[in-house]
Amino acid sequence: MNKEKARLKPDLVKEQVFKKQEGESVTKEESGRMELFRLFQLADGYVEEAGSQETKATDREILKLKQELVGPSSDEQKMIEADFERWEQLTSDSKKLLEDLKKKIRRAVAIGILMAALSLPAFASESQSEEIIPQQKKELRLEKRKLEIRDLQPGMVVDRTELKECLRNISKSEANEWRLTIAWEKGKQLGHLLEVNEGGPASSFSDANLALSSFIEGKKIEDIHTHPVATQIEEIKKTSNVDYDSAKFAAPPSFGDVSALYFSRDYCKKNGLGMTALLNKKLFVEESSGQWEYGIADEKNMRMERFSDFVNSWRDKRNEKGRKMMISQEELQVINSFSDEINKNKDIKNEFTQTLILFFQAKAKEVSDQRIKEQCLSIANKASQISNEACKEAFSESGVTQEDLKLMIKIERLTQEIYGFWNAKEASPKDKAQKIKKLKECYKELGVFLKYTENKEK
Amino acid sequence: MNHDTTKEVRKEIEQIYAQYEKEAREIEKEKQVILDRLRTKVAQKKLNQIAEKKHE
Repeated sequence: MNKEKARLKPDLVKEQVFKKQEGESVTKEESGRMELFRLFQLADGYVEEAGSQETKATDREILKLKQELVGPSSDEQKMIEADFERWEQLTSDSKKLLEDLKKKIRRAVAIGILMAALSLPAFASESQSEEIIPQQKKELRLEKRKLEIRDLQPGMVVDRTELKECLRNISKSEANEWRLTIAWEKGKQLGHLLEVNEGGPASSFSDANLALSSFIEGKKIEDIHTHPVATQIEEIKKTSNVDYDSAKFAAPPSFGDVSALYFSRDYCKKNGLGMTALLNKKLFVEESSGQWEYGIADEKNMRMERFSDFVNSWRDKRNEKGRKMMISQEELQVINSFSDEINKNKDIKNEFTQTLILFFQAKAKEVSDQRIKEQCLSIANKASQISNEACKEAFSESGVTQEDLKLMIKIERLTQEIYGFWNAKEASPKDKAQKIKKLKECYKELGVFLKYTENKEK
Repeated sequence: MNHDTTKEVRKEIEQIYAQYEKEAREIEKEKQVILDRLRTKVAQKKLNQIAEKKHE
């Protein structure tokens, strides 16, 4: 970025930061991923702009002046020395200011990522409230036939390999994320479905409702969710005008997905279950290019400890604040009219505020009455505001370090690039392999392992 | 990412940068004053040396 422009006309520079790339079709209705991409651009632009103001050339001049102004001790010489000392102090202040700026911007971006990554589905083409499926105990064995996602219900006994195959297939055909949880005993191919859910929160918030008995019984638990290729096709086209190619792109678990491990970790701790219980839980992402497996590799990892504490403190805070949310008489009427539907949602106890956000965002799209639509949006916005404030508060109180944030931002950027939502024009199979390797290293630093099995059948 | 969330984060980044710019400008201003003073002194010293040589 041009130094003079940056110093004299910051407004112009900002415009440059947002300048569209050739071939981009950026509309007002931008996707969430695009918003994140622009946030990265904005942050980079400001840091670059600030960095360009460093006075390296003048420092050289100062050295020369120092040599030229050497002289015998006198009042005049003392004043000269005082000037040089002050200069050094100001240079040091300037550097500190720049470092502080980078830290503050990094923190703001990280909070933005956390708010986005840990609250909404990463791969849903539209945000949708959770589909309520009653937890009936159906000892139903689906005999050798292809599993149909919409036939599956909690309690059913299914073949785990068939289930993964089914999810892999729907990642190519369904627009929304699907999440299924299955419990099984060691050495057995069949398992019980614990949860079947379309859309809904990206993180597995619902451990408390469904997994306790399975954890206690020492069963193995697999949490499998899809990353629909439809989202990738659309976003890659929108941001880079490039066609999706599974050899060049993939859809690994995001930081938000990995955070599900933090909830499980906290849950195991609270319920007096050892780490063995947690190590029995494995998470998978099924997507068009292949399968991802991830889980806890090092339960004593300090970064994980810090993020885990933050994530859980945020959840407690947003729920507490959400229950005290100020609402108008009209909003209260709308809430009352939907109370039965809201209370049926099994996440309402553990995720009060997030459930309100998702529920009323979805309702606003559903209802035709303009007045009710406005009230729904207003409730969703208020709840969202509360969640954001709680996030900042929990973050300020957390022990999450600048290095942790750097790592988190690196992970988010890498996943964006592997998805193809960023720099898709430069993507190649070799580049994809390198980025996946880097991503695995990043997750390792968080105490999380990541495995990728590429789908060879194209 | 929710549009309002991004808007909020963006606003925060802009505020952070505005505050930085204000403080950085103050520092740069003071540095410029010192620099001008030191440059003047060097120029003065050189002039004095020339004058002394002429005098000799």
